[in-house]
Amino acid sequence: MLAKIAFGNVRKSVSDFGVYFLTVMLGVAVFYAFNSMTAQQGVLAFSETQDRMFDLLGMIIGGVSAFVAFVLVFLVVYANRFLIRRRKKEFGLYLMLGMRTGDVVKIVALESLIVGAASLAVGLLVGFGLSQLLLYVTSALFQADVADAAGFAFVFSADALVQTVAVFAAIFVIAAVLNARTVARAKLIDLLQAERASEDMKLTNLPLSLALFAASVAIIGVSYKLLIDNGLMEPSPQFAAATVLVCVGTVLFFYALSGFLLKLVQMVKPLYLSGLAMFTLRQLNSKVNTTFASLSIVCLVLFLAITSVCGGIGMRNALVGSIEASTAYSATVSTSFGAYTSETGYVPADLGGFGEFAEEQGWDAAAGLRASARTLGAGDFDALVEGAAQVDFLVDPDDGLTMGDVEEASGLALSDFAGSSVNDGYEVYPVCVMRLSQVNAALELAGKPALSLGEGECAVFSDSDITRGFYERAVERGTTLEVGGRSLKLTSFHGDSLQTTPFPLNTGAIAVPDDAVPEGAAIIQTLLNVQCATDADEAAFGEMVEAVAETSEPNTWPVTLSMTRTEVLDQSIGLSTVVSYLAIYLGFVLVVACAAILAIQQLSEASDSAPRYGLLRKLGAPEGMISGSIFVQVLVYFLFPLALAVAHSCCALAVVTDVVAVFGHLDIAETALVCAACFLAVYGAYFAVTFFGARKLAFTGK
Amino acid sequence: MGNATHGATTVVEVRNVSKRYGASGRKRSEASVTQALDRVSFAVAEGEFAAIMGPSGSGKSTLLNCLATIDKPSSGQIVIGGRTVTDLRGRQLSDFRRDDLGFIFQDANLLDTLTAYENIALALTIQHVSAREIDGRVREAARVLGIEDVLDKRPFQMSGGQRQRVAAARATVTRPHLVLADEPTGALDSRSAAALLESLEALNARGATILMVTHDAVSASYCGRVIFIKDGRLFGELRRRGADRSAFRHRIVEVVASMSDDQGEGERDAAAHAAQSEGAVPHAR
Repeated sequence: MLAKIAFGNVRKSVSDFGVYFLTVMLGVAVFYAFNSMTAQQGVLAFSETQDRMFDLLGMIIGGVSAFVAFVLVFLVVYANRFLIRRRKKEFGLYLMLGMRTGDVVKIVALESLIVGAASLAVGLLVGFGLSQLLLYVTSALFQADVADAAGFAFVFSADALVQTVAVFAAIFVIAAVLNARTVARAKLIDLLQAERASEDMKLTNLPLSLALFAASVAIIGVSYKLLIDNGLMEPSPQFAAATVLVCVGTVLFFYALSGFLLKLVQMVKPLYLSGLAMFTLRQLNSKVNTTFASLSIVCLVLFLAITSVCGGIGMRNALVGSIEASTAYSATVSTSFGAYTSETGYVPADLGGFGEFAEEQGWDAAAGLRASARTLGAGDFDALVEGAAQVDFLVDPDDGLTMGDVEEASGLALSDFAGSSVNDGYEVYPVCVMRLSQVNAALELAGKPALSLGEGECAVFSDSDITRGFYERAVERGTTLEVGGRSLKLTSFHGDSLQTTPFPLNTGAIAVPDDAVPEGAAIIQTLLNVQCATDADEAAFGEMVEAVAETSEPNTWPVTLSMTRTEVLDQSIGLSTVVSYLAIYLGFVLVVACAAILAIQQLSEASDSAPRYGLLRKLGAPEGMISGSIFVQVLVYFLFPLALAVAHSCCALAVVTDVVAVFGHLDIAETALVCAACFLAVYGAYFAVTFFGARKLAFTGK
Repeated sequence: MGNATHGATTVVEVRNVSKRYGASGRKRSEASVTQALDRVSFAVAEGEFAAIMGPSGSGKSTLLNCLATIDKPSSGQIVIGGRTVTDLRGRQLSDFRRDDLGFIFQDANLLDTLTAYENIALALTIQHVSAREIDGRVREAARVLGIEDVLDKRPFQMSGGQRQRVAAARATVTRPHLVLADEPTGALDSRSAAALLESLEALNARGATILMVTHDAVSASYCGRVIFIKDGRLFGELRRRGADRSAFRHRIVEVVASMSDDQGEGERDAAAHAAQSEGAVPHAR
């Protein structure tokens, strides 16, 4: 009997449940699709590095999903509350007719179960499709083919399925319990008279709204200017001020918006006195006190979603585009021989037998590796390597050049340029020197022009953004550095990476004429860059170096780290793909959340306003005119937060572009556009559901 | 007083209107059918201020709903301003309500979000009247009804009487063929009621045709003619013919009393009780 009532209710109010259904359905689909991503490992032919990246992605998505589940709980409960509020009178009637509270609670729970099960089922189907789509996206991003010979594979994750069903079952239980509490606690008289609870009418001062609106636009403008002028490079007070101002401006904007629109249109009498214009504007204005806060939050969350998705994808594209610059060599083998700080002096690394071997080889990495490989039978160095160039990072063990020295000589402070991105106490760390001949050999190996230095001149190399600005300024100032008792003038800055690396590792090393290298300089680190003829040689070289790195045979070259170009590409693309996937996942959930909140709010307003629409009909306003008014109201609520969020995002992305410029050109292209289209489609779907739902509420009211 | 003048054009013609509820299928038993209106016929001339009186359950609300095109009679015809409204459908109906009818409800039914000015103007804006004309007409209507000083106020800032006069202004500002007033004084104290009725008289004097449904003899005594309705049938009518208002009221009360006496001898006791209790209202005032 109760089930029959519940089924009947769901069938009768399909449109009431529309937003609820859409939200749960999308939530389930996205939750499943992203949690099933690790299953792609079974289907796609990944390299080992890509496999590791995907493990990482799986872990992070697991963590993020906890947050997403929390957002979904909030949404489902919020959507449910709207449904319950709408139907208080109906529940009151059940109780009046002598039904027990427990039975009413059961009906509500059954309804939730029916709608929940339906949306879960549909959501899972959509989720299967979505995960299949993601499979091809991954396949394209990672350049990994579907392992199956046919080139097609169905990806399915039982774990994700179980996880999704479990999470949503829990969400439904929470929602059902909260609903039951609402119904059980309500007094019959309140349920029956729910409609009569009238909201308090407040007068809004229209000229004040006008002034506030102007102020809000000005504040937002100021915050944009602050942000663009100061950038994101460092968390400065200006950045904090811009953040606060943009929030304040946004809240003020939505507080004053309806009053502003009203006043604006009132000034144009023919527009104001046509059709339902004044009704529509007054309608918007009457709800300002209850809606401005949620509109502001929706706007800011949309801003976050748009910026993170565009920024994340843009960052990935930039990384991939610029990785060429840091993969000039087939491979780089690096060895650390010691450390230096101005406090401890030079401390040699304890390399034991390996260290002695390196000394025997005259610190020649190529010779060392050649001999080691022969000893181990790991391969023929000369057969694999076409060309090699070694760069030693040297320091005067008695009085090494430190960051503090460079600051003093230039009169600049690194922290002014890099902000908090440098560690405290950086002053004591060394600024190594490099022999010009070695640097030029390395540049030549990369196919770059050689560098020439005159007497008493030196040049600085840094591939890291942290110190770039600092050194560029130091060069401009014509800073003179003391190296091994000789004065050398900084004449140029070079951003070239002298190794193959996934991240910038060199925060600044000084290339000096060979004869200017201090007597008895100690090697802190040696890089050996090699070029191989083919990818196969490169891979073989990588394996050979690995064998040398792992052996315990003391008569071999010490290897601290080795990287081949392929490894770097895999890692960088993998990492940035992880970032973009996360941005898309979160962005999508946030957009769904925003749209759902707006939709529910609009629907409950339409429900409250039903008597007003009824009166308009009695006065003879045609249905089309009333529909038009509802359309405009819903549109204002959906469009303005989005428009302002897009404006915020454009400003933020303009600034982010500067940051990302370090990695390369920020290219918010195709992928971002596709994402934006998907988001807009979701947003649009909510808009449509809201409009039709609100229209139905308006036309069924008395 | 601008009461009915003989020979004026007919604005409303109700011909043999019947309304049965629960009679959609022939299989239903006779007992389940309620005859709300039974072959009612009457006419209202242009410029008349007429009242329809009857106890609860007499069918006067059904009659009003049929006149207002909110409900449709089961048989018979209603002609308003030369158009047979019983034949109108869909869009034609809303256009007709917009252009040819004005409504005054028991609870003013103003839009709480709009000012008095905007509430009155709304009736014109949905007719697509030009903005320039709207302003003049709204102010003119406000002047006639003495509500110029509340034009910028919202309904919750006004008294009940003011609200009802704003509603009257909204109903007449479009110059409809017919103004329908449904118990317009029902929610007002006697002083505000008198003020509203005088306003309606003033509107009538300026040419508006007003048809008011009421069960209050005092309200009815402001009209030029009172049509009595009972058990869905016409019971009779009274014409004022220039009589003094209190004298007219006494005649109305007599008819009301005779309606309830007659009812007492009849079969439907429940209806009689209702009529009696309502008939007592004029005495209470």
